[in-house]
Amino acid sequence: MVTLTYQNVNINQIEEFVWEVPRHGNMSVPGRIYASRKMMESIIGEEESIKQVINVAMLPGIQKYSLAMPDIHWGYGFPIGGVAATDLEEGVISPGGVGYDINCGVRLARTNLKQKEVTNRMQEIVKSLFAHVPTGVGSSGALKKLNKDEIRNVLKIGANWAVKNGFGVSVDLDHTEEKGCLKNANPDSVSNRAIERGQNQVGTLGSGNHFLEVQVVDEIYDEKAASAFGLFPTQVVIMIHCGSRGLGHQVCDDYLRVLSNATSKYQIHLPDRQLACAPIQSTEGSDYLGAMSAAANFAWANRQVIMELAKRSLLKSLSISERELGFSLVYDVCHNIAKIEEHRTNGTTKKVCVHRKGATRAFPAGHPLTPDSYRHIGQPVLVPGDMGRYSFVAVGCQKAMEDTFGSTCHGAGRQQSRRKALKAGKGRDLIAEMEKLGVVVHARGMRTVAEEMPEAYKDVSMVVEAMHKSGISKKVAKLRPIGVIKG
Amino acid sequence: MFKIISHTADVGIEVSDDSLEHLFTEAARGWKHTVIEDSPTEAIEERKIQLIAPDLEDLMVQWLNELNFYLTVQEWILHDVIQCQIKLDDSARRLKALDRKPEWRGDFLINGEPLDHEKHEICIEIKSVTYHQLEIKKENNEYKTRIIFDI
Repeated sequence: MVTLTYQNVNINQIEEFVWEVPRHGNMSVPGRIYASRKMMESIIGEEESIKQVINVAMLPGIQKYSLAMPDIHWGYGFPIGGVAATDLEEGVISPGGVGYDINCGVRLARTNLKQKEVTNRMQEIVKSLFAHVPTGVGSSGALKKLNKDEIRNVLKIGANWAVKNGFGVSVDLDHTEEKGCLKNANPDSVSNRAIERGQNQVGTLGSGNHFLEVQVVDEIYDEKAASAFGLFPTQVVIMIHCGSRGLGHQVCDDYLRVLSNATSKYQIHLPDRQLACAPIQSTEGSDYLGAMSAAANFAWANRQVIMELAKRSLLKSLSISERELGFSLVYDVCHNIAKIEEHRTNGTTKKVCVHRKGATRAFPAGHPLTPDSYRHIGQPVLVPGDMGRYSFVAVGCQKAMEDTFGSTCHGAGRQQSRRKALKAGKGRDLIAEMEKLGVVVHARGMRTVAEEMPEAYKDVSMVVEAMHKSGISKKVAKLRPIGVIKG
Repeated sequence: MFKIISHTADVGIEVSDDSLEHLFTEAARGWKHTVIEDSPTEAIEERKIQLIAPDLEDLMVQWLNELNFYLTVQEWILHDVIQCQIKLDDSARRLKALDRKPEWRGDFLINGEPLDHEKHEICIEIKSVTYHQLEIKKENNEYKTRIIFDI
């Protein structure tokens, strides 16, 4: 086992893929980072992300460890890839542990189609998806503008709202984390401004790294799990990555201000203002939990609507029946959230508030919150990569419950700034380059394509591999993109 | 004066000027450049903004988020800042009587126009202005700050 150094602090390798930052200074618990040695050396080089792991360890009521997944990089307050569970009685809740895009997440839908059935029709399939699903900055207009009462209803019942309004079927809810609705959502804690930002954005993808991809199942690592998830080789699937749009950003922004005041009111001393927090049991803390849960529900409704729009688009562009398409939701996971969950800490099972910021829930086989149809296998974990290489399906393991509060990695993470990627894309026919890789891309502008080129991202397979080898989540299948729509 | 800075996953601006008023004005121009770069804008309509915050950093976040709200929800883009006044309300006796802490107040008059996607190319959607390492400092008679946008 190796010891590396970060600012005079020893970082000790305690398992092949686990590194511990010993408790020091004002840390209440040690830090634990999941990474290979090579990854760890690069993380140490980034400096700020380890500092943020240490900062999170200072939050009142934090349990066991301040955790980071292998896709760790610096964020606001928590690092991206950060996980922390706090005690319900003595602990705090922090918007910095959730992020601006509340319930940013991923959903995967299966079809009966094989790649050979769509290969020659990818241009029209992607064009049709682009026409059906609004994308891009300030994208709006998937549905008629919803009035404020209707938005409050979305905030209350989440993905149920979409199903009730004809977007999908009730079985989709069984295959959505928390059945697409956090019950403690409180629309009254959501500001008028946040509601205004959401009125025109249900069913919109947004911009940046959010996407809708047509993918094919490229490789299967675990046949039993793949079969349970309805996946087979060369199958066409649809992956959607997006969140709560402007509504969620506004909730985060509003509550950073509220909790910043609460931090001084409750005399909590923090090393970073973006870690603003309040006791979970305080008015401010419980208001944030209610508003954040409402924004999470908005995101589930958003992805549910987008999925239905994608299904309608496929039916139309391929002129096939619903039975032939065989479209159904495999699973929907969120990777920016704080939730009250039961976990074992210090020998007892108790409710804690698990913050996952750029981390995915990974519950194992037998867990009561894993859907009935997957209970014997475990919860599907969806890890998107860049638009040229691959994404992964994994499954949660028991070790995740023991070591990471049921959490695993969430994605690749950028290695190039947007500006650098833009510069690198100058003078190149990027659409043609992507086509050479076998991917048809349709985006609102060439700028996004340049910013999102595969070379701008780290290789997600390394991240998934680290979690696989550490026994937290096991690989099930590799998915390769063949069609992409972007903002 | 502002300068665009580029992080791996996000963007931001470094701003410096000789007064708080100029600093806030330049920050707004930096925000605008980040969002639409050199797309032309016109002064079609004026708007007044009044903001109150416990400190200057919070006032800055509110100010730029207000401009971002106009853009993303009301589809209205800033042309320029016409007036800007930044004041510390610290009249001790009055505050004591009201049982309040001192606060910063910003009064702004801006102009701009409705967003036109043909004319204004939106290069980046800013989710929010962050408090990440945000500090407004005065060094050698110059105010300086660095603002990171979550995108």
